[in-house]
Amino acid sequence: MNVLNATERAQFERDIGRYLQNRGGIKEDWSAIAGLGWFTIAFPEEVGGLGGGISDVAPLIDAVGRGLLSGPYLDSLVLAPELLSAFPGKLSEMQARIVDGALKASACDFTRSRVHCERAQGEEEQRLRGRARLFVEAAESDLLCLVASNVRAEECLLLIDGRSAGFDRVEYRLADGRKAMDLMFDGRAVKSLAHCDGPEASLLISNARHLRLLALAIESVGAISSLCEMTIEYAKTRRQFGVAIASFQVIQHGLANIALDVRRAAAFVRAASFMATRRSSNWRNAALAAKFLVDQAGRRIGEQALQIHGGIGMTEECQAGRLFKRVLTNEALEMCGADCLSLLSAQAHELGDVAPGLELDRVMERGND
Amino acid sequence: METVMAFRSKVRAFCADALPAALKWKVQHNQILDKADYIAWQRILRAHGWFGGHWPKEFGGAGWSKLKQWVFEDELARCGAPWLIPFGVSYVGPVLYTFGSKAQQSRFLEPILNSDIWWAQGYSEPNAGSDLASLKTSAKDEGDHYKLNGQKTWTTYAQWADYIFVLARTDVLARPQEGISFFLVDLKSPGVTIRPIETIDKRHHLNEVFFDDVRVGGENLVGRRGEGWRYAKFILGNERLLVAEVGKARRMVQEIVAASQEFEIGNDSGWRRDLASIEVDIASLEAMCLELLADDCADEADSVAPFLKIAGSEVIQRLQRVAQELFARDGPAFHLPALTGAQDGIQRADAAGALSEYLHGRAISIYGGSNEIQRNLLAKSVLRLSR
Repeated sequence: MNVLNATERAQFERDIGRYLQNRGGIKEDWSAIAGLGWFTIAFPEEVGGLGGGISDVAPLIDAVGRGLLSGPYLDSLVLAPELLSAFPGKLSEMQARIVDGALKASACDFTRSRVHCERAQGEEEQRLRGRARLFVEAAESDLLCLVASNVRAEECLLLIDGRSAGFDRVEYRLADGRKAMDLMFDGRAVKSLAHCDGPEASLLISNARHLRLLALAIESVGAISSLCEMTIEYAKTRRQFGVAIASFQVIQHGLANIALDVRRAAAFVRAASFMATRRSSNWRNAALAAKFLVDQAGRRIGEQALQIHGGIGMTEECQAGRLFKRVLTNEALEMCGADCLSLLSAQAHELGDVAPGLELDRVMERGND
Repeated sequence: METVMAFRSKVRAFCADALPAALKWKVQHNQILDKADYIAWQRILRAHGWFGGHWPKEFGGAGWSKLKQWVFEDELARCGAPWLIPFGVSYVGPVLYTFGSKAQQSRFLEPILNSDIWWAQGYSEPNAGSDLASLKTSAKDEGDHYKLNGQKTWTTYAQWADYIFVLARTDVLARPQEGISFFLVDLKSPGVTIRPIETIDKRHHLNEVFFDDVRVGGENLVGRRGEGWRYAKFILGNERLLVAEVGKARRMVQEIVAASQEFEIGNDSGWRRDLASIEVDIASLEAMCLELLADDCADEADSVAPFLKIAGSEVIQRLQRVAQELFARDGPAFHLPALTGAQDGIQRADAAGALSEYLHGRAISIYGGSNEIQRNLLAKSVLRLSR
């Protein structure tokens, strides 16, 4: 359910803007933001949350991209509420700790992970083989969510304690500087906090995967908004031939194009997030379309931004390159935009039907005429 | 209050019932519609109280919001209804009920709603296209009347029109935008000459209109002298959302998908990807339109209009290109002016009118302020807005 009305949402966006202006170090972000109560948004009321959805938490996800925050925000604030909802009662204490900022949750890349799982001892111990990939910024995550295939070759979902034994970690850095890790399983028994299989697990994993695609799109919109703004700023201040380069028409049209790309991506991503929150029939397609749209826009905007910055844009010192690398990294996580488009176009009967519910959802969201 | 969603379903049901099949066929196949076709449809809508639904109730409208008006036109286009030619009902009508005299209102408003008087728009001139404010057509004050001299061009459907609204210079010394006034001119007046312009799609949409010492009564000056530019901008404000033709684009996708079944290409994954990406473009265009309409952000409208013009024209042009390329597989069209009815031995390329529509569509990024002008405007607003 969407819990913030338009006014509250606007206020939330202003509050976040103010936070980004005055924030301390990147390490303090997590507890500072939790302290502001913003982790409550998408968790159910039983565990101290507001019971909202991805459209409510979107301004915060946008800020993760805009301010290049690092930490498992998307996994903890968007995916965890979804995944943990499958275990009513059992994991409510963990959810409450995420809301407080005391616990971080991370999930593997669902598309690329290959883990096989057999029950070892009773309900709680699994024998795992394979590799769960791309837990991003998960070094401090005590709750790890991973997908595996069981003996019937069905998808299942496992929640494990990050500090438990029975697997090895491989840590590495992504192109944008964030840390990631894979978990390597060699058949040893691993104690799980909870697991879920059958049709219920498939649905849960599909939901989480599409929510992640959408959340990545929201985060990247934050990054490209910031990139576009700083490029406009730069064009206004950088002088060549005795004038600001923004006075040249060819530069102006380049700026116009990226501004259009940002506006368009942001509008669609907002629409898609409203659809996802209310679980409109077509929300998964809207999430795929959002990822495609934003990844494409991100590349165009990033390339244009570097071009307009000129040499300084090539330096590691300039924020433009860092924002661009965040966008490129997000593109490659879970499923790249090009593959999202392939999925959309492969659904034969749905061509001509990518987001037909869009107008209705949006308009209903805003109330009556 | 009726939700917009319920209203949309009502419009859809109405079209399914009331839109004549022959008219729908013509629209879906890009065939030539004549004046009688447009008028027939306008009168069907009028009988239902939906022609000029965005006009205030006191002037015979239904008082729709901009959102409702947009949904209405969007749904009509999606259903394959004829384009609502805007010159009367959406351009000059609102100018008259907002700025016109009582006499002008009682003389012209009702005939617009009843489709009894047909209007043309006299804006562009041979040397005033994108740079409209440099227009030269003059209106000399002769006491109780004005004497109009000059030339207008690209005048759509002037050959059908009874009246034309004209921007003319009443003060040559004033700054370009300030010396312009807004006149209503009877096209039957002595001294008016209309000459057709043949376009590359071989249809007759466009005309040149010449004014040689045309006498225009003082009662046909709209609002205040010298404020014509303001009224022209007011029209632009009403027009800007209508350029984002989401409904038409959705209909085109459906038609292209249906037609593609007859060609191998319909199963080609590259082709399907291309079409799917256009659909994402359409959906994002729709999201921009609805945000603007739902948020009631009138202040922002000026800066957002160029976004819609650029995005809207590019989507339609992409679809026209895809449709034309699709039907080109059936061989080159041999008869550009599209059909007026079923004919034997005709190729699908012709029956679909796809080439003609494609060629005609090249104008979308040129008229109403070319896309280059839109990018200039956009740059100006983004450069100003960011501090």
